[in-house]
Amino acid sequence: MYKEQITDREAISMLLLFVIGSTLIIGIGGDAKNDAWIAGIAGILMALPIILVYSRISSLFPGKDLFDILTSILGKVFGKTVAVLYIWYAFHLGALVIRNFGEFINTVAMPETPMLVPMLCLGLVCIVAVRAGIEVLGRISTYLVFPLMAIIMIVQILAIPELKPNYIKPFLSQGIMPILKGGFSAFAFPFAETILFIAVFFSLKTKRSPYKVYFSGLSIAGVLILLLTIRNIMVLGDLLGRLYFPSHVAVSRINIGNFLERIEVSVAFVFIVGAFVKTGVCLFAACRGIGKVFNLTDYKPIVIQTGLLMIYFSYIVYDSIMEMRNWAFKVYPYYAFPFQVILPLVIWIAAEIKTRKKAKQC
Amino acid sequence: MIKRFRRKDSTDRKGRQTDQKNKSMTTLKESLEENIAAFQNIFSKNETLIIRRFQNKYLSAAKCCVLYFDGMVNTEILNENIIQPILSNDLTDKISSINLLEELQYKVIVSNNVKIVTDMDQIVSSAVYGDTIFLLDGYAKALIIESKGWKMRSVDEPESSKVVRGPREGFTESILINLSLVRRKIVNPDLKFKFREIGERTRTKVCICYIEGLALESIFKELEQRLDKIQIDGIIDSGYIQELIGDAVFSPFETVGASERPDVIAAKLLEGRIALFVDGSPFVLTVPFVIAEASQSAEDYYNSYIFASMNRLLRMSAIILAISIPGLFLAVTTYHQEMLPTPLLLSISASRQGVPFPTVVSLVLMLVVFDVLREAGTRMPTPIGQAVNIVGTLVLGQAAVEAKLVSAPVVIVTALTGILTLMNINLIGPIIIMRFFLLFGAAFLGIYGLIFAFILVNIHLVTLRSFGVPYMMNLTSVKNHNGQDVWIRAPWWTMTLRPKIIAAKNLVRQTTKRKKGK
Repeated sequence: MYKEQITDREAISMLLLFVIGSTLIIGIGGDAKNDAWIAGIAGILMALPIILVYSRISSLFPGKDLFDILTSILGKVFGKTVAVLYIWYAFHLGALVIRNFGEFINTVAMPETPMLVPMLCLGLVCIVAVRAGIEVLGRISTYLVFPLMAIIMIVQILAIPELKPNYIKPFLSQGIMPILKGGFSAFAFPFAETILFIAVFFSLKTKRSPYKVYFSGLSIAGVLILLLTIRNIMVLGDLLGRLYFPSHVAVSRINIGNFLERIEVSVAFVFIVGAFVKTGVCLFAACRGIGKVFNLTDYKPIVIQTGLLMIYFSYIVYDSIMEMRNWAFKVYPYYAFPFQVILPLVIWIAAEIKTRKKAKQC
Repeated sequence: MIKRFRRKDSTDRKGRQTDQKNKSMTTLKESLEENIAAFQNIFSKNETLIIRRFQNKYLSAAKCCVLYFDGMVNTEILNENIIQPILSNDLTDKISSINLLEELQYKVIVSNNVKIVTDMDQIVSSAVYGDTIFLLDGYAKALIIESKGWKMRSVDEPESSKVVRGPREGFTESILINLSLVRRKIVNPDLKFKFREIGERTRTKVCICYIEGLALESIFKELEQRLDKIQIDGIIDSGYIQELIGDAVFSPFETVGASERPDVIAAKLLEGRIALFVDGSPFVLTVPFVIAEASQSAEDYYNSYIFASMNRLLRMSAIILAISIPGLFLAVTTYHQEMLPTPLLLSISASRQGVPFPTVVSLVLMLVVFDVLREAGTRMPTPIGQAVNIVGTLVLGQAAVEAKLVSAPVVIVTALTGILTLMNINLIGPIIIMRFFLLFGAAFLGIYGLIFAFILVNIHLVTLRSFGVPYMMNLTSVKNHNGQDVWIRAPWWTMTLRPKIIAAKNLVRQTTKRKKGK
C-alpha cells in the first residue's frame, strides 16, 4: 500500500493551525481577566514538559501511530480499551470544535440560519479532506498558513490605534490563584490537545522530527496566542471576561479612516481555517483509531460515517452557548486531564520500560 | 462503469484491426504486373494512386514502375531524379544486369533516402505518407524512395501566445519541421527523439523528446506506458493525447502542458521535462505539468527580472481574484454589508433600486453573458466581430443597467472578472468553473461559504498529481531554489539550480554563481 508521508513543515503548519484554531475565537484564561496573558504564559510553561513526553512517545515508535503504540505496549485487550478511550476523546473534541463554529456563526453572523447548516458545511469539508488522506491535510495546511499569518499580522498592526495599554494594569490584582486556574485551562485547551498528533506523526520522515515539530509548532502558536490575548485585553479591558467571542469584538472596533472598518470577517477566516484543520485531525485520529481497533485494512471507508456522526453529535452536545462556555473553561480541563496527562504518562513509562528491555535483550 | 465500457470498446477495435491486416497480408511477387495488381487491390477505389510504367530504351530488362499518391509527393524529385535518369541514360554501359535493383539504387536514382524493402506493411505505410514506391520487373522487392512534398504552412508567429520581446517562430503542423525548430535551439547529442505511431487508422507519428541526463527515467517510463495504453482509431490533434494520458480524469485542470512556441519547449526540456510532438498539431505537449507553469509567460524570461516578476505577481493574483471577486462581492453586499464604508454601501443600494432580481441571479446572468460573448468572439469571422462588440458592450452593458435589469456594480464586477480571467489564457476553463463554485458557496453561506468553497478547491488541487509530481509544487516553498520561478521570476544569475523533483537527476544549471553587478 502507498505509504503516506508528511514533511516537518507540513506537520508544523498543521500543529500551528490546530492549536490556534478555536482558541483564537474563544480566547484563553477567562478567569484571570486582565492577567489572561500571564495565564497564557503559565499554560505554555505547563505544557512544555508534557509536550516532551508526547514527543518522546512518538519518537520511540517511528512509523507507528498512537493506536499501534497502545496495542504494542499495553497488550491487545488493555491497549484496545485505552484506544477506544482515545477514539472517544478525538471524536468528542472534533464535535466540540464543530459546535464552537456553529455557535459562532449563529451568534455573530446568521442568527436565523439553523445551526446545523454551517456545521454540516464544515463537517463535509473535513470529510472530503480526511478521505483524501493526511498528506492532503498537511499540504493544505502549508498553503493556508500563509494567508492566515498575513491576516493575523495585518489585523494586529491595524489594531494599534485602538490599544489602551493601561487596561493591562494592575498586574496580579486578584492574586496568583486565578492565573494558575486560567493557566491550567489554557494548558488543557488548546496546548495539551496536541496529544492527538501522536496519531498523525506516524507519517513523519525522521525519528527526531516529533521534537522539532512539537516545539516549533507550539512556540509559534504560543507566541501568536499571547499576542492576540494581549491585544484583546488592551482593546477590550474589563469587557473581556463577559464576551463569548472576544477576538471578534476586538477586531470589529478597528476603524481606519472610516474606510477600513468592521473587518471581523478576517477573524472568521482564521477561525474557519483553524477549525477545519482541528476537526480534520480529530476526525482522522478517530477514524484511524476505529480502523485499528477493528483491524480494518484502511480507515477511509469509515470516514463518511464517523464524520456524519460527529456532526450530529456536535448538534446535540450542548443546549446553549452558555453551557458551551461553562464546559470549555470549567469542566473541560478536568475532563481532559486523564487523556492529556495521566494516560500519556502511563504510556510513556510503559514504553520506556519496554524499549529498555528490548535493548537489553539484543 | 467507465472501465467496463472501455473494455468492451477495445475488443471491438481489435476485431476491426485484424480485418485491416488481412487485406495487406499479400507478399511481393517477381512479376511486375502481379505486384501492380496487388497494390491496385490494396488501394482499390482510391483514385489518387498514380501508377507510372516506364522502361529504359537501351536495357529492355529495366521494366519499371513507380507508384505514388497524387499531391503527396514532390513531382520535381520524381521526374528529374527517378524517372529521367532511368528513362534516358544508357544503362547498359554502366550496369551489369545481374542485380539490377541494387545497381539502380546505388548508381542511378538520385535521392537522399532509398531503401530496399520486402515487407508489404511498411511499403504501404510509407506510400501513404508521401514516399514513392519503385517496382522492377523480376524482383520480389521494392524500393522506397523518399519524395515527400506536400504543401505546408510556413513557420510564423503563433497566434495563441504572442510576445513583444523574444523569438517569433511557432510550431507548424509538420512534426519534422517542429523537431528541427527545437533541435536548432538545443545543439547537443543528448537531445533524444523517440518515434512511435498512435491511432490504428490515422497512424499518427508521435515523438517523445527529452534530454538524456536531465529527464527522469521514471517519468519517461510512465509516459511510454500511458502511450502504450492508448487504443484509439485516430489522433487529429495533440489535444486527444493530452486528455488520454492526463492524470486527473474528472478535473477541469490540465495535468499535461501544451505550447506552440519552440523556445518554451526548449526551456522546458532544459528543466528536465519531457516533450511530446504530435504530427499534425502545432501544440507540443510537456510532462510533468504543475500549476505554476500555467501562469508563466515566455516573455518573463527575456525581460528584466523586476518587470517580469511584477507581471508574474499580477498574473498569479489575477487567478485568485478572478475566481473570488464575484463571490466576494455577493457575500459582502448580501451578508456582510457592515464591511463596506457607508457611502459605498449607500451608492450600491441606490443603484440596486428597481432591479427585480436578487444579486446572485444578476451576477450569474451577467457572468454567463460574458462567457457567451467570449465564446462567440473566439471563433467569429473578423467582419462580424464589430457587431458583436457593439451588441456586447452597449446593449448588454449600458442598456441592461438603464433598463434596470441589473445594477451597475454587477456589470463592473463582471467586466473586472472577465478581464482578470483573460490574463491567464491557459486557465480560462478551470477559472470559470471555480468561479461559479465559489459564487454558489458565497450565495449559500456568505463569506463563510466562500471560504469553505475555497478550501474545497484547495483540497482538490492538493490531491492532483501530474506524473507523480504534486500539481501545487513549490507554491509556498522558497528553500533550495524551489520558489525561484513561481510567484516571481528570480534573476538569471541566482537561478543556478533546476527545479527539484522534476529534474532530480542533475540539478545544476549554472556552475559558477555570478556576483551581483559583475
